Amino acid sequence: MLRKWLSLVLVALTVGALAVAANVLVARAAKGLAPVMVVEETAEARREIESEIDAPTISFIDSPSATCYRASVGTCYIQWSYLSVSASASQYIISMTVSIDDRIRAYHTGFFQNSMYIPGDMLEPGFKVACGWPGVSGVPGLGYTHNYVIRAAETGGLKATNYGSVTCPADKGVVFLPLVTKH
Amino acid sequence: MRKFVIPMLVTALFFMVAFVAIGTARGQTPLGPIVLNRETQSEGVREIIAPEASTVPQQPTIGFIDSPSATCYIPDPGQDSCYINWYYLSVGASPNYMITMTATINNIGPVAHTQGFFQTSMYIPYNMLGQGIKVPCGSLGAGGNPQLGNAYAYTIRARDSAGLSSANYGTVYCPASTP
Repeated sequence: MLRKWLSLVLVALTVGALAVAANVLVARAAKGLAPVMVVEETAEARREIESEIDAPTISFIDSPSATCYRASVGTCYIQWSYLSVSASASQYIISMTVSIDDRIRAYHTGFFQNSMYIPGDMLEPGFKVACGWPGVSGVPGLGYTHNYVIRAAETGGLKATNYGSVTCPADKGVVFLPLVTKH
Repeated sequence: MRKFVIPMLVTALFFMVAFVAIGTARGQTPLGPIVLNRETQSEGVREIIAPEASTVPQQPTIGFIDSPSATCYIPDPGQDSCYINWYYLSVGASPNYMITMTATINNIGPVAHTQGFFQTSMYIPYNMLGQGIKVPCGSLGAGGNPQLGNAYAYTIRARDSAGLSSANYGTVYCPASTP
């Protein structure tokens, strides 16, 4: 009698395990392929490509030399040397977006183009940001650190993103008093 | 004999009427502009147009206008001022001459107009339009995209000396102004 019950329990457990495994497989199939992330990282910057295939056809975004310059007292501007991204010959670039401190500051729309190249001086004078006072971000002599995100998408559904930051010169207010000569 | 002649005459008459009808139908060409080539990509459309059927060439000499990277950016987030520009505008019509190219922001009107001068192509780099075309940025969602501001539909149209036109229709979204 006990053997019979043991067999029954074993059969029930096996059926249960098979049902759970089948359920997991069905759920995975319904989700589709998991996106593949190609990531490169340094201490302060990260760039990634989101794709559903192992060899994505969108490139990393090229955004060299993020620069913050103090144009006048209290006014800093962020600029890049250029922004560039390309897709495979069969796909078009849909858009490339520049965000600084979570605010979209530039939106570039593709028009029947496999690549997009935005020279720095096309966005003159740059993007105005607060400079900050000396040491505010922990770097002596420098001001605020601003985070930026550059995203691009192409018609095949692939996306590329750059995450980085740039620290601005500190805002040192200098007041020039008129020279009064004494007679 | 009569038995054969009458049906033959009737058949011949029928064919004659049919040929005349076909000829007349072929001779009738639609009036107005003819679209010779047209391509679309999401919100973008580009096309080449002949003003009327009688001017349709075997092979159009004017090309599609190249107007990559329509850009709208907000230099100062404290102000509701955005600038629209293109990386470049370019079109060719060799061996014909380029007559004009006009960029129009649909709800503003023409914003740039270039006149050809014995030239078979035209190339307008972004820096020829200064900082770009100043427009209001708009508030979040104003243009239909919840993350962006105003949307501006634009048309770039070029015409060559053979009377052919090329046009690009697109939309550029601006960042929102959120002071």
